Amino acid sequence: MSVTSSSGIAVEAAGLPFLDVKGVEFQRDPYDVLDRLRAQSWLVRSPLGYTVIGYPEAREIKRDSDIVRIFDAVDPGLSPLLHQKAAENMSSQSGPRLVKLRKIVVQALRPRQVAVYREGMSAIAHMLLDRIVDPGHADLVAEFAGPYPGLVMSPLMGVPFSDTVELDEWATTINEMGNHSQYDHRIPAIEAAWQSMEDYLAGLIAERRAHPHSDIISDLTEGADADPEMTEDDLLSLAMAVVNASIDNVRAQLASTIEALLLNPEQWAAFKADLSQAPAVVEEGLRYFPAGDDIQHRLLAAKNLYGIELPADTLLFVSKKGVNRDPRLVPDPHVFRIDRKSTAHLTFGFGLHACVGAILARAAIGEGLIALGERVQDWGLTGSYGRSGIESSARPLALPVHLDLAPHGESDHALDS
Amino acid sequence: MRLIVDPTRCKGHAQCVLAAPNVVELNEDGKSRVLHEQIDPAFADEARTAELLCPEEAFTIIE
Repeated sequence: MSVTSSSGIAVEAAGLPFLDVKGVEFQRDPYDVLDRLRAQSWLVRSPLGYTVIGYPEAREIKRDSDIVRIFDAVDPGLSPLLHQKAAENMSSQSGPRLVKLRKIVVQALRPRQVAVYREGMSAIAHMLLDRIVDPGHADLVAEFAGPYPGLVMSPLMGVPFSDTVELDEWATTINEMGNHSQYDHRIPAIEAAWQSMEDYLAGLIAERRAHPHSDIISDLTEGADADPEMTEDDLLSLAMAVVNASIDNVRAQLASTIEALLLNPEQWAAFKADLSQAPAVVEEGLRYFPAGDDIQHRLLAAKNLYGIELPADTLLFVSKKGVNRDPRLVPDPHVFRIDRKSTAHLTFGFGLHACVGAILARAAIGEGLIALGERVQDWGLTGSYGRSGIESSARPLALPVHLDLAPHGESDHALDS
Repeated sequence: MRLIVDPTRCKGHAQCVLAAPNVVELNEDGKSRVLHEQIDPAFADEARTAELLCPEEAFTIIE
């Protein structure tokens, strides 16, 4: 299959259907809307450009060197600060500079390093379960998946739990940049959060440089300092990228995976029967309910993609919801099944910009699920809940449940340690 | 030094090609192929970076 064909039709004349991500219909059932549109076309019009909803096409496009990944492109007129920060972000880099930056992050997040952090993740997950006030009327978003990824930053960054509350707030606000089509009114709050987190991390970097610990900030600092071409701003940008990507996306993904298990009791039972299947549950959750949707790309040159002519500078989004539920990826894509062997979903992207923190995210989500598997004897949804369907905010807003919790063998973890 | 790629793990992200253009290329199937059985010492760092960056951990280095 070739991305480029010799003759094509101008994109405006292609009669592409429109994906109304803000519409009531999409909010209610995005997968039904995407299925209907995919039957017409692998490419659809969307509020800010065009969106790819077909799996094989998205995968080929991600391999095309004329189509570059960009970190949420903020209009410079709207926010000069965020425009500049997004342009400096690792996600917007290419060529040898991208290699240098990824190398520093990968060295901080290699499997051996991540394995060291698993124990702390597990302890935090159990601590949160211990703190559930009324297991008969619990909310697994507010009381578990919500606070979990922020608290996990404590052992990862070697900072007190009390610091992670603000870090979580800043990162969650900054992640709203991913809501491309609706963040305009949030610009002042996002700018303030960015500035606050940069100030915090700059201080932490200086401290770790003087007194290195075993944590990701120390590892990032050591990696950047070993490369004479890396500036202080480069290091700060990397630290911002790693911390930001590790909190709100993990929250959305863990909450969504728990939701999928609650909605599919036979899959939950299968997982509970053998908790060593946690990596497969994580993977199917990533495919089925992907967090951090609608990844942005820009065409460096005019392109003919599968017979459609697109001009240079076109903004092209990849819909993870659209591509991960394409029947050309897996059979029966709307069925949540933890025994699938496929890991070819595009939730962590693909190609030169494939998520550099995937190992860490998989570990954090997996430890959260294992703690639930160990402790929850019985559970069930007790009421309705809202679900935000679009862009980076996709997730359940609450998960009201009754829980039958087994006591934890070593449940003496304290928040103020 | 030798660099070995496991074709069952390689998914064709091409990060190795960007990191080590003198050591690795993509084959017709879009998967990585190591160019020379013995890595030229001048490109040893490239080979190590390719091994490090692979998101699928598809490479093995034999010193």
